[in-house]
Amino acid sequence: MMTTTARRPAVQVTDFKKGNEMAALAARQVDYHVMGYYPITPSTEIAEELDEMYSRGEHSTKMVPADGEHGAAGICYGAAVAGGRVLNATSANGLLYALEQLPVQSGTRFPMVLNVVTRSVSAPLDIRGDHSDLMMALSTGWIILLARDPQAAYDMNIMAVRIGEHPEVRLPVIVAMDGFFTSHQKRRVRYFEDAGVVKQFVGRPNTPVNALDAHHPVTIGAYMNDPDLINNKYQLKLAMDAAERIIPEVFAEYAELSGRRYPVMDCYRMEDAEAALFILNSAAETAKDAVDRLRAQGKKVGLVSPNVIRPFPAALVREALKSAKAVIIADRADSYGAHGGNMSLEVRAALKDDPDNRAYCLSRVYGLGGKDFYTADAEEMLGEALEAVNAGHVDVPFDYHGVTAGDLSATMEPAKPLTKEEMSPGVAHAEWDEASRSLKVNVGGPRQLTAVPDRIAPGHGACPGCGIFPSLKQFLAGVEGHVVLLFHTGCAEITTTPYPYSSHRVTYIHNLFQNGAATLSGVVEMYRERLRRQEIPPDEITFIMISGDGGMDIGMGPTIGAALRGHPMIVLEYDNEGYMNTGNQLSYATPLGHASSTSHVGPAQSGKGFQHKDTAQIMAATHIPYVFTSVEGLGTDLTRKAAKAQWHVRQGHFVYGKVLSVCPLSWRYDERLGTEVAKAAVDCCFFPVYEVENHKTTISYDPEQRQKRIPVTQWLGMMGKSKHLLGPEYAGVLKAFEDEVERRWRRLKAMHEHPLL
Amino acid sequence: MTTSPALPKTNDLGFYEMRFESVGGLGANLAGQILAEALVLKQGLNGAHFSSYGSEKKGSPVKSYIRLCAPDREVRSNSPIERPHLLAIFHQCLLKTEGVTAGLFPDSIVLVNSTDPIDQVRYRARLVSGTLGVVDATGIAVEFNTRINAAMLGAVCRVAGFIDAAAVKDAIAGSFQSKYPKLVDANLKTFDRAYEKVQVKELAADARFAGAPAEPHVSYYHALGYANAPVGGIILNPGNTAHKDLSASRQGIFPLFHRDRCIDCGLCTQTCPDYVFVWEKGRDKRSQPAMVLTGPNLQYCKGCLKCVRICPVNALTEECEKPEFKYTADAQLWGPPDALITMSREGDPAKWAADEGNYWHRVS
Repeated sequence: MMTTTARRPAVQVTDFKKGNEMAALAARQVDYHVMGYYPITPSTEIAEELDEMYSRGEHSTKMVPADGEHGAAGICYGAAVAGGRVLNATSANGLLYALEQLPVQSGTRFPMVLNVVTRSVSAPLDIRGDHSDLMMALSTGWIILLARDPQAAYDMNIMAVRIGEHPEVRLPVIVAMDGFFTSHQKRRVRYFEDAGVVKQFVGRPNTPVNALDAHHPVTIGAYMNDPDLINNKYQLKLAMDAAERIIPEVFAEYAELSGRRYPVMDCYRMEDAEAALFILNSAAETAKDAVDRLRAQGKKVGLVSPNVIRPFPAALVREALKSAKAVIIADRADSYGAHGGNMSLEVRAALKDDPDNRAYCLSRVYGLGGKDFYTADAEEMLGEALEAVNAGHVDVPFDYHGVTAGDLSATMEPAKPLTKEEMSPGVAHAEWDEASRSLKVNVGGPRQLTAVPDRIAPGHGACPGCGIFPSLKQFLAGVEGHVVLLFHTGCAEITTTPYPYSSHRVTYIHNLFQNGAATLSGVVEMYRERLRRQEIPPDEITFIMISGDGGMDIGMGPTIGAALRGHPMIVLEYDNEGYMNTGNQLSYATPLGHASSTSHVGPAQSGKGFQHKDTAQIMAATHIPYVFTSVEGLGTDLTRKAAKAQWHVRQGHFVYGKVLSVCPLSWRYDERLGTEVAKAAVDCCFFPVYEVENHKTTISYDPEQRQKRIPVTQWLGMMGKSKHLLGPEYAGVLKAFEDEVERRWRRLKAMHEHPLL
Repeated sequence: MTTSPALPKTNDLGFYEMRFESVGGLGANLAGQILAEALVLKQGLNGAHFSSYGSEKKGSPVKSYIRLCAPDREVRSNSPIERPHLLAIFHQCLLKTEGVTAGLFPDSIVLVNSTDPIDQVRYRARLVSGTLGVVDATGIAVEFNTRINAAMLGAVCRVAGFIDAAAVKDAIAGSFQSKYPKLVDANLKTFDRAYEKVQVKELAADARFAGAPAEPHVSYYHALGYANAPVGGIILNPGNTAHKDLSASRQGIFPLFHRDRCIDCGLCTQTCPDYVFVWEKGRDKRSQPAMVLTGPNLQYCKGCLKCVRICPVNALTEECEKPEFKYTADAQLWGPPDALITMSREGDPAKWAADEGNYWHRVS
């Protein structure tokens, strides 16, 4: 893989870092103009590292946290079109959500660098590493470089800039490293001590066309039909052809600088190999140990592993496998129905163009969903290839490696489903009172409410002290009868459904992070229609969507859409002020100045840079009949509002509720103080508890009236994420925050007073 | 750069390998990172560190791996460490779980966080031979108000023999310095105390431990596979997390219930994130039908202690886990054998004939 060269390389530092850190380090040294990003495991750390470095003043890349990956890709495209250097990092479904943007970028020929930290594509949801996401990008017209270890993550990120911006190429570039296997594995690495070396290597941005040159106005993104489109795409093909020539030139130039030379095709012990394994990235390195072991036994085996797959090095494949008698091609993804993963199909196609090559080809799929790949696996695969050589034919041309059938004798008693009667003990009531023209609600007290069985079973994996679960308990206790739950991706979803376990004693659905409200609307409308057609028993089901961890950033559009259409359902947001399940990245709900893993506090940055999102008011603007906010432990406020919510749904209304949900891990306070922290957030008027029912605002709990109001600083001081705001250097940020809290509170009070608001 | 120490032993590929077995929240990932970094950057070895874990949450199983080799050797393999030369177990209840002590060499070093006498730990760990270290990392961490990972690092450094403790302490200080400078001192003291207190014993080979596992034993195996798992990843068994035991998530403290003081106000139940409180239909003080609290089911309690704070009458108090309880806590974090679908209906529901009715109807 790497050979040292004779020329004097630049001074480098030895360190111990993982793939994500090395990608961030390269990015810092390149000093991109803009990074548009959105958090998704396992790529989140790249943005986190860069944000931390930014807060320390170590680079000037403007980090723009998007509402979702499609938005992030759009931000990146806009920044690229405006002529500067742009970076992004994503994985799996994030890549798929952004996918629409990728051919636009290559079709209009604006370079940038996108780190794909490979991860399994949903569904089922799996956060660990395989190549199913990367393979979806093969046809996007982007160059794809592979980084098989943390060192390569650094080196490829630097070379990607030169390659993409080359005047004969002008294509965006993906650098792909394996999720967890490379992104999170620490290795001994080297990087240039002086960022100037990197800047000199990448040179100044090459932007012959950009949107910011008023003296040369251009139209970017015209409407083009035939016969022109095919020519436009042929230009892209020519760029890929040029890249095939230019990439090794850049690799060679970088080798002189770094002492590390990457071949386009890494051939390991292939000189006289009879059987070869073709495999990508981290598994290739593991497999080299297998090659050594088998060679020590006298077996003639070797390994072929590309460092570039777009453009696909077909000629080098033919050359590497010229004398091989069998090649087993292992894909870490399947192209279902194609009788082989994408790489195996491309290798087979490449070999077919050599009429003299009669090598047996075996296609295998391995390591899906992060299933570990061991040296023993590589030995087995090479064994299969050798067997084909000895037998003179291939028994199994395509198969999966590493599946298990399961133990058909294993059983377990299912839990008893909750009956409608059990779920309707008659504790919570909401009835319309004509005399007062309002809802009369009675839910009893906490003791009576213990008679309502939990729809969610214990044994879920949430953190100790998690605020989501008491909130869900108190809410669901106010809802009678059958319930179907839909959860957005987030902590609640992840911790309640670790396959093959589910905490959900009622039917539960999880779809995608962005379209929960759309999905549930579909369920609701199907329910209504099947009822009408008498296909299902006439049992009332209340449909509730639970979202948090930024779900109302990425999912805002569909939620507003569902509200406007007015389906009878409840959307409940647990506001934990960030993307917690992916590691505490900021969400739009994070308050101003608060620290998170993408809003660090340091000399150059003071936490989150803009005020917190007011989702309740956004939803009130859809003019739905019932919007509320609440919090756990404010008496039985949350349960009462749940009973009201169910009443509204029974009238055919769409309901939106926002509940403040404490998070001890990310807010950084002692777990046992959750109740106090929630109470302080309400008492300082940061999180007002109110309703907008039939378009009239009513404050449910007024801390001023009850003489319980405390200064905002008292709440901020309770949490590690915000107590820095009490320091003199953050006085400006604190004042801006206090003023905003006060403004929104006063406005709410005015709405409460006014008969029409 | 100092000359790197000779590794006490290496496998056939030239590596010395360590595995930490833990649960989320105990800091095994960070401990592995710090240790590996010190060994590579300060002791001049080459190596790698990584962990296997899932989403960010406490209480899930975590394994942290360190590979070490001579500085001129490349690290290529990414796969988990199957045969550790040094195994550190961060919570003694993990000893019950099959696979935790898998792959040991006859001369491997095993370190366990436990308060039990060393011979009892050996018995529970079923160690045929090798070296055993035992340290009460939890107790030390509670004393200094730190996490047990610092204590485990101290003990690992002591038992491994070739590790430069000063270099590791430097690395610990470095990792806390920027974000939590106030914690440096306490963590270094935790390290030192564990380094000093860890008991080490060379185990005379005892073949009785080879073979059948000790009682009681938890077996973890994949019972679900492509032939018997419901297609589409659907789970047909609602609420089955109730079979899990999360008590290993606690950091040594749990809420003790005093029934005599309890007024059945229900506040603890409202506030508990883990749904541990069990209520039954009974009678109140005026003999009227009312819900009555029987107490917390500690199988699910993760020890956040919100209930202790909210109880108005001190019917819930903080207590330290008794040493015996720490072992009996059933670390079924992964759960029992995981064929968790009802098998009273034969075969794969998707293959049932259409006239047998919609399979959702059958399994509901």
